[in-house]
Amino acid sequence: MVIHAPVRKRTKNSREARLIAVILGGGLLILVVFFGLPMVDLVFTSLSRWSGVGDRVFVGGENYLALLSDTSVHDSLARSVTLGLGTAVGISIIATVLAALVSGGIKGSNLYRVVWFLPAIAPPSAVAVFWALSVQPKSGVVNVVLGALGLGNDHAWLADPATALWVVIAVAIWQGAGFAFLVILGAMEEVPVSIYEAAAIDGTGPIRQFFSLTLPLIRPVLSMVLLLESIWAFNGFTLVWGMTEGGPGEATTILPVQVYQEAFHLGHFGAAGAISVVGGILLLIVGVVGNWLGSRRAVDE
Amino acid sequence: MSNHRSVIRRRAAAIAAAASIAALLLAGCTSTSPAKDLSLTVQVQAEQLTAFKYTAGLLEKKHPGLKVHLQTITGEQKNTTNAQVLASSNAPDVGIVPTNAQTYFDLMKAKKLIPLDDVWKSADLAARYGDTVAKSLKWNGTPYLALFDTVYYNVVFYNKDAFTKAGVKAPADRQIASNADLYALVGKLKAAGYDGLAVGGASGYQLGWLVDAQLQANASPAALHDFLTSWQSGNKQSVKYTSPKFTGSLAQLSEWGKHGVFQSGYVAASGDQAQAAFTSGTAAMMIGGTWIPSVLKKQSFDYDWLLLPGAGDTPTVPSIYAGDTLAIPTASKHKDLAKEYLEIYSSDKVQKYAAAKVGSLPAVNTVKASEVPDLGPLVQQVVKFTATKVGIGWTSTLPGGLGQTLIDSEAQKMLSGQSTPEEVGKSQQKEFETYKSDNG
Repeated sequence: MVIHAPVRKRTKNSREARLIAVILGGGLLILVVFFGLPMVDLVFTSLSRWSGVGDRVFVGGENYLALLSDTSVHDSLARSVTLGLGTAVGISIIATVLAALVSGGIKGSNLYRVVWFLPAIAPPSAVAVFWALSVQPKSGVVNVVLGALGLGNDHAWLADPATALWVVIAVAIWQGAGFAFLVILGAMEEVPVSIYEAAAIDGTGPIRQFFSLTLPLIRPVLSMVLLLESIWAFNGFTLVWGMTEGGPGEATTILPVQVYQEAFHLGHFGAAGAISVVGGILLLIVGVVGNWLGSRRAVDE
Repeated sequence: MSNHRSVIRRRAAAIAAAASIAALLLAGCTSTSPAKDLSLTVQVQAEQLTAFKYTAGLLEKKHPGLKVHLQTITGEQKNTTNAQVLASSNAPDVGIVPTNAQTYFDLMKAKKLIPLDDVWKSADLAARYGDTVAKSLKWNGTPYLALFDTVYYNVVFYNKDAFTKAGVKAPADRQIASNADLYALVGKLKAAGYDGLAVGGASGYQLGWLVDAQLQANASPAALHDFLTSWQSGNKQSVKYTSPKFTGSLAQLSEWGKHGVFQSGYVAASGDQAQAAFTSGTAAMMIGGTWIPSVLKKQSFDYDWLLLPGAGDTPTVPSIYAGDTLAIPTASKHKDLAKEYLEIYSSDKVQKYAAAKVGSLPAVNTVKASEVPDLGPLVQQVVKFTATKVGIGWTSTLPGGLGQTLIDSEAQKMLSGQSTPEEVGKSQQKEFETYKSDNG
């Protein structure tokens, strides 16, 4: 008996180890098949000349070198950054203000929780079509309302390179604010009431409490929202394509739109692959930095 | 004891595996024997659905048990991602492959379509298409495509009520003679509260149409011929796209933009939005083609057609597009049935049906548009006009990545003030040189 007990324990441990290996192995296999292999294939495509069907011709770093001198890619990157940052900052500010109002017990807050979240559940393609039609000159509802107010009904914002991207950013904020609002509200409601009570006893007003207590305490969540919204907007193909297809001209062409156009309109899958790889690396860097900035450690430091 | 159990387990597993394989084999055998399990997948665009369904019905009647599945694809898909679909292992049996789409050139280079010599022979398509069209549908002398309709585009439809209200008279010969006449006409329409010409600047094809019409009117015959053929393998370019013979046509569009010829926000408007501007009475004119009367059947106002001016004294003419074609991918599992489908669609019976029901002009010369009264008087007039005056569309001829897709985006850029005609010419020339270095 004394001899058998450790053997049984060892067998049990070995079974557990095997089970863990099988579970982890399965997960790893799924990662390799659905993430690793496509990544390798993408990198290989970016090193090739390929029309999308047939054989690929290996060209080494030619596509990457071409990117360096291609001003249209630089412009697309700048627009992607503008869209990503503009949307994320806009969403974060609006969602934080809305969450603070609801958290502070504004009248009808239960209704606002639902209403402000509604745009977030609408399909992005439907949102794109709805807003693209709504801002059409003369017939679009926004122009009709402006016309009724005597402000003119002939504003063609999506046809103007100076305004088209800002309209897209506004729509992205409209759609994204609801989700961010719920997440930030959740974080605000996690802050212990006793902290506010103590601050109130010390004579701190609501606005000071918001800036000195609420914001620092929800910083990790806020940073995560900012990071995720930046990445989602940076990759926001559906909204841009649905509203403008990257136009007028290239005024709203962001990197994912350029990838699509290079690959499927022009048959340059190699160039599209190179743009995707560069965009992915940039987002990875943004993700790592953003993740660190939002961590408790960064808050402490 | 444990060894014995293990042997039993292994035997049981082997028996189960053998039984499964036998069941699969039996299932496989039974699925191929009767025709009732046969199915054919055919791609279709929504506009042609009625005619494709009719053809499917005829084929199903001929092969009891056969089921034809129609797979709807969009205009965007047929010109972009469809190459990957048709090159895949589960490709449909019949695919839409427009002759001027990048997909056609990519599929041909990758040898992903089967030759259709037998279909052409049995349906006598070479003679029924006519020499010019038949030649344009061949790849190195071999046919891989079957045409399902023809189209005339660059026809401007105008609201007769709006013209009357604005005190504008359409030219008797239907051709607006000059830019001055066009500007005067649009000016009167605007004074009466109408927008001018509705164009889908974001449609991805309508600005290219305008370029087609202008090149036909403005470029010399030799220059136009060069633009239409220099991209082909082995041909040398004699007129560069940076030449005024090309950029002059772009400058013409640029001038129209500056003179407010188009509707408000046209640069960002889709084809549907442009059509809506016309049908709602906001715009008094709309660019379109011979299929338009079939989609405007329930219009509350009368409309007629005219043609736009060129940059000089030569007005534009309608452009022909004979590139709506079907092909059979090498991955098709029912090639013989797919060929039969193409033969039936090419028959006079279906061609007449399609013309009457979906407003597409016949692809074959054995069916005359005049024999299909359902096409309506406007289409008959356009067809009659084109008997003597017709142009070959530049964007209808070049591969998409070099023609329609590229120029539409570049023209949109130019018309929204982001580039000049000369810069568009440079972009076009650059893409042309890249194409030639890749394709010879």
